[in-house]
Amino acid sequence: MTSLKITQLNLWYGKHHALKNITLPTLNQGDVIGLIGPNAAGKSTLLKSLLWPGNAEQITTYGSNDITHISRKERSQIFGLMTQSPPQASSLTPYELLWSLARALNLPLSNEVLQTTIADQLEQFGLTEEALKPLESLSGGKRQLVGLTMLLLRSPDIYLLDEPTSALDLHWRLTVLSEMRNIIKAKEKIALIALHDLNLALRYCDKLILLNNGELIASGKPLEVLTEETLSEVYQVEARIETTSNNTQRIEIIAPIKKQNRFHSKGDRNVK
Amino acid sequence: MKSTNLHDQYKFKSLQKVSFLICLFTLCIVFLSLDIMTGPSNLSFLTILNGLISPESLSTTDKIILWDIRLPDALIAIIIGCALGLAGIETQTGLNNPLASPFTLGISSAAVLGASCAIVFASVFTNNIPFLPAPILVPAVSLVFALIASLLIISCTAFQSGSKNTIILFGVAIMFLCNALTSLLQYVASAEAVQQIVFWTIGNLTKAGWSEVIIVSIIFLITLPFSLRNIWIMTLLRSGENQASSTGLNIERYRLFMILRVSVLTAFSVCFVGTIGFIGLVGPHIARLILGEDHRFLLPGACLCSAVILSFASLLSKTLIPGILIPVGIITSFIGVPILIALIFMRGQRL
Repeated sequence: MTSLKITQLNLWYGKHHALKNITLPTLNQGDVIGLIGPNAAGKSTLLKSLLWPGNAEQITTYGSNDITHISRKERSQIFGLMTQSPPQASSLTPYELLWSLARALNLPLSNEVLQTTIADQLEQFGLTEEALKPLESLSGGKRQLVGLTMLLLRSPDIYLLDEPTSALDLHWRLTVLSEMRNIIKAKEKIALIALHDLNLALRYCDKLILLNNGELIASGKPLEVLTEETLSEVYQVEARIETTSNNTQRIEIIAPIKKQNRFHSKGDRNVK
Repeated sequence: MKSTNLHDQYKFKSLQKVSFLICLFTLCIVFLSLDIMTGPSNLSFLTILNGLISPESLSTTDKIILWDIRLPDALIAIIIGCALGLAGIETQTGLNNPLASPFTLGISSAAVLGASCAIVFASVFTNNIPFLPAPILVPAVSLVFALIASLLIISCTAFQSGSKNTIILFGVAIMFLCNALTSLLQYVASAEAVQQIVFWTIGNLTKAGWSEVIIVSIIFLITLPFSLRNIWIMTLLRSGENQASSTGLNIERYRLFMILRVSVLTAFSVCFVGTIGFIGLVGPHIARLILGEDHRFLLPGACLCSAVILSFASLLSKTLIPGILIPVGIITSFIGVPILIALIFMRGQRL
């Protein structure tokens, strides 16, 4: 079993300490880990700093290898990131995009294998109709699905998904997360998924990691992390954990807790 | 079942694109031939055909007209078109900006400044640099200036780790600086020198001879394979820089070498023929509207489109007003703009 250990992750933007000495729990093959936290908690920053450490300090071991100092290229073969922004609207078609992706990265797929793989993946995410239409004619949600197929085509060992469902409707939110979960389990990959929707996190993740202000607040089983206390403390909302009739839990958000200056000190930051 | 269907459609579209490229290539040859056949001295079709196969059969004047004037002029239109088209498609894709062209990078303005310096201070140059014969003075100095501008852009790209908007802003800044300096030179120069500068700026293919054709061809043929190597990355880049770089590809490095290629192509093209319209902007756009974003077709398409427009412009410049040669730089805009606008309206697409 190959596992990923990330310890002592620190990142500064100038004087701003964006990630504060974060040590993640050991991630094992087949794990689907949810990364949760309010705006500017450091979710995207953490995912990006796993793919491009840049000036982030960290110690990463993957299996028995210390991969802290491997090259950018080697790192991108282990980690695959699906960014928050979907592919931009241009007259490129999803089919051309996936084809050029495979060839630009020299993926070892023959033309025949590639054409069936692309067709299957597009069908899996309901994109067959749109395969040969320009991206600019696709809705934001469809383009986000195209972004997901780009990551699946590369099939990295560790999937880093930054808000993969933010633009999707209810049907596709559930479909994407359950399909991803199946893939991770079947192919023995690892997934780190940043999510805003806590009920989705509760439902589809094996473990959760809660961040706030660049600090790791809690990690563990979903219900250990998502308690009424942490929700009011970190998310500033009044919430209740309910058990539904078929014995699953769901989070009922009641109201925001009013507190002054909640948004003043921090906004969404982008890494570059 | 579905996969073969989808791929068949994709293949069919690719075939359509290939046939369009073949049409463009044929059009290129047609305009090249027409360009060779047109001119003030009425050489007949047969004379020209004979002269091309066996130059000895021509009279001395006809031979000079055909081999030293018409052929290099017609060929330089094609080759400059290809070079600026390639530079244009690379900048548009690499900087992800529909307004970017080799000219936005300020390289052509630097070339104009160089040419102006050479024209205004001609005696200073010829007195101090003994190995510089008068005919190549202007192109040589303008080339040096264009290369200096390129160097500035490249170092900016390298230091800024290749942020695309910084490159564009820096290019525009260089452009304005060079324009201001050229204006200053024109302000102090003699009337005769100003006239020469203006004439040079308009862009004119007749300045070129065989050596220019060969030099620009060599530069084009050297840069082309490097562009072709990045053809998949260029297609991928059309999904956005975020997407492309999240795959682990080193987009900054691609962009640095892209700027290098574009700079050299533009510097060598502009220094011989002056600033020719905005062929490097229009050609790639027309190709993109027709061929789509797959750069395997778009890149050759952009080269061929620009070549066809420039060759057609060269033909028109000789025939519009019989006996008078209108500088080709003026004509290219007159042809390029209507085609572009018509295509945009017909397609109803964004750029």
